[in-house]
Amino acid sequence: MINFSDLTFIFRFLPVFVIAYYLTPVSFRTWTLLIGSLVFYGVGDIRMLPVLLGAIVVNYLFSRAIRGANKKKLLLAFIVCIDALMLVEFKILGQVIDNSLMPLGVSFFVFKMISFQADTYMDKITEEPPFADVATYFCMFPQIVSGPIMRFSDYVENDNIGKDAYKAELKTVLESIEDGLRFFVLGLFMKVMVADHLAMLWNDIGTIGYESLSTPLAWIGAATYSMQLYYDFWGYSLMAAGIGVMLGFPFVVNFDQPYSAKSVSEFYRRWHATLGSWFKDYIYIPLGGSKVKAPRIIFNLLVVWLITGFWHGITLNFILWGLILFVIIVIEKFIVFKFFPKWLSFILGKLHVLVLIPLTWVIFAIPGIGMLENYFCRLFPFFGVGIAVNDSDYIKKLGVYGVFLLLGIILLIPGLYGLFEKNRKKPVFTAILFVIFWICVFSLSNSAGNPFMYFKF
Amino acid sequence: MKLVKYCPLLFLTAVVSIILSCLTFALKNDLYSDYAVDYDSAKTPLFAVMMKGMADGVYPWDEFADLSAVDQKILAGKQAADSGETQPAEQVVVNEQETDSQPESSDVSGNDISGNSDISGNDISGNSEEDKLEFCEVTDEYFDDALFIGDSRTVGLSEYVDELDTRATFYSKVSLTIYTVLEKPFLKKEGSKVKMTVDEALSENEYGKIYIMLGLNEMGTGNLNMFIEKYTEVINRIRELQPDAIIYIQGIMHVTADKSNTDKHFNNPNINERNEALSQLANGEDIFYIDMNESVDDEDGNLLKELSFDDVHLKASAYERWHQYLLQHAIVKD
Repeated sequence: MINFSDLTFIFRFLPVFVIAYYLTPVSFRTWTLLIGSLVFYGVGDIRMLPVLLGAIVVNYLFSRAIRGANKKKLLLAFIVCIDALMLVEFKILGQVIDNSLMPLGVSFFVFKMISFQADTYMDKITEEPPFADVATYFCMFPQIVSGPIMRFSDYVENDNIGKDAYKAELKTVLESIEDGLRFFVLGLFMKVMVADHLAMLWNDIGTIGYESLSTPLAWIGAATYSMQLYYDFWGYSLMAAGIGVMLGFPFVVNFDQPYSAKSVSEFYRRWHATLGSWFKDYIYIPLGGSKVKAPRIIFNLLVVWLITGFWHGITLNFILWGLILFVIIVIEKFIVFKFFPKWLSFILGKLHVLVLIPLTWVIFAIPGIGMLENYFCRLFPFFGVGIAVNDSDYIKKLGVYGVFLLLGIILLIPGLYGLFEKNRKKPVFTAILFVIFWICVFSLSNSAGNPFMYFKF
Repeated sequence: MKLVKYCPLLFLTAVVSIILSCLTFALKNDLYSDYAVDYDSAKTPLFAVMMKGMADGVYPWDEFADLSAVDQKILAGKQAADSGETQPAEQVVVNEQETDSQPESSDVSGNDISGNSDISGNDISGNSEEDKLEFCEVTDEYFDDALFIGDSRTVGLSEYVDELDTRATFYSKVSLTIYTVLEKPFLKKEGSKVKMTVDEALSENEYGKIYIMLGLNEMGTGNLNMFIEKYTEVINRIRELQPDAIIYIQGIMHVTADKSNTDKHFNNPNINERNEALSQLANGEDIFYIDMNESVDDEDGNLLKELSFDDVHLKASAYERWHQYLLQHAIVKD
């Protein structure tokens, strides 16, 4: 149920919750969202619910202490260390012992907590928020599993809950539910019809074994995994933001056409933007940002990308992934965009985004260094030969999955989403959304919780 | 009603959900009864039942159509259904077999003694010692007149062992089962758009050896007796069409320990149970049982972890083990 693209969530939890939310009197609505979110979390990971509750209470108490204290900095440093340690500890536990020991969404709610403490410290949160609001902000169900990492300043913009809430007209309520639904349906389509199908191709590629891929299939694989990740996460983010809109929150932009970027640094301003801006505001800028001498900038970037790597996972491939991105960004910043002629830096920047980024995703995807080596030897066959390679394997895979790859490529066209955003209220888009929603539901009905829908032997 | 114009998508979606739910409710004890068996109203909307049926081609308007045609669709849908993981065994009981005769009574198994060795059925035949056929090692030319019938695993064998692919014929298809192997039209015919069934192809072509590996997809389906009975029927039919061919029944390949320990249907104890029964279909004269698991198993009888990515299929580079096993376990008749 904790998966937004699950029939139980779409047809059971979500409608029941939205109705309950708007039927609750305004002054209690925060509590409805809080309780609904805790139920949601409990269904997903009941064992770790106490961890979440503990973290909420401790962070709330510290934020109050920071607000009134003389030695603010010390308190902030202390709670940030506790939060960070908790995250690191659970990541290690999850990796070394058992994945189920990692609380659901821990990477996201801890980052929200740190952001909340830092904003309190910097007096960005002027009025002292009541406990229910702080707790709800930390664990609200549209964001608890995989973000977006919304700021508290966005949370308080919701007129439906909190101290200044007022009872909205039915028309306004229906309009916001409708608008949220539009984003939700588009996100659902990206996840169910594009990402989930590309995931099957990526699984097929693993089944063959990386050492036995033909070189064209290895490259198709890199594109497949890159698009799978993109539409899985963008789709999820659209669904999450859509649910937020249904409840009255502002739309949180998490993906903004990253593949249209002109450099890797721009790519990461557009990809998972709430994470990128978190790193910028709470790590990069406090370290001095770009307003320091070159060696210090390089050091700051190194810190940011090492932590980014660790945040995604503590296996070696994630660290390697972070370090490679660090190197590319430093080269872009200090060589390509500084010394090269404009046309050349444009071409190089585009190549970085469209060729190097997919290759970095391969590193992101494959945890074993030996397997990574095999994969790269097939991408660049002059490094070594494959075993039992079937040279026409890619033709067969394109026959089966070509339509989903094509769909993924079409959705990469930068203007397309803008067109949707601008015209989404027009009848033609209502019709399109209506049709794709039912296509998704049909597909979901027949997959019945199987991650690889048409998985057959 | 004025409010509808503020939320057309929401309104339409809600209305269609309700209509589909009502429709499914009306048909769920009749047309869609087979799909409603394990329906849980807390988890999915009712119309998911109907959508499952529609994926098999069973549409609401079929209610008014010929009922036997609908039965055929449901049957075909189920037999082709995915892995069975999503389908409980009882739901998949195919109503074409009413008898529950034991596999031992089948007429292809000329012997009634079951051994425990992997090639059990073969070496205990009614023949005298002198006539006994032994497995021996052969070269790839042996496969020039061979035919392989199987599911995705046999597809893999054809794709990643060039020596076999260039010599032998493959009637293999992902998710092929013993229940549909003969009747399902999936073989391309040169110069024709219509696909052939295995039955038709076997009537037209002649083979010296026929290797069969089927049975994994069937694990979640029906029960052991049904499976063996159908298998026997298929072997009999092949025997009839290809009287001179050596038939090799291949034991079902194991899954890895990870899969075996966590899957209710697709686990090695179940596979071993079926293999044991399959081995008894051999007669040691012209039908033989071979089990390639010994070439890919670890010491506990599970598929070696490093040979598989998805715990079920061999990686491309591991098919060579199967090939080598076949080379070393061949029957040569003078």
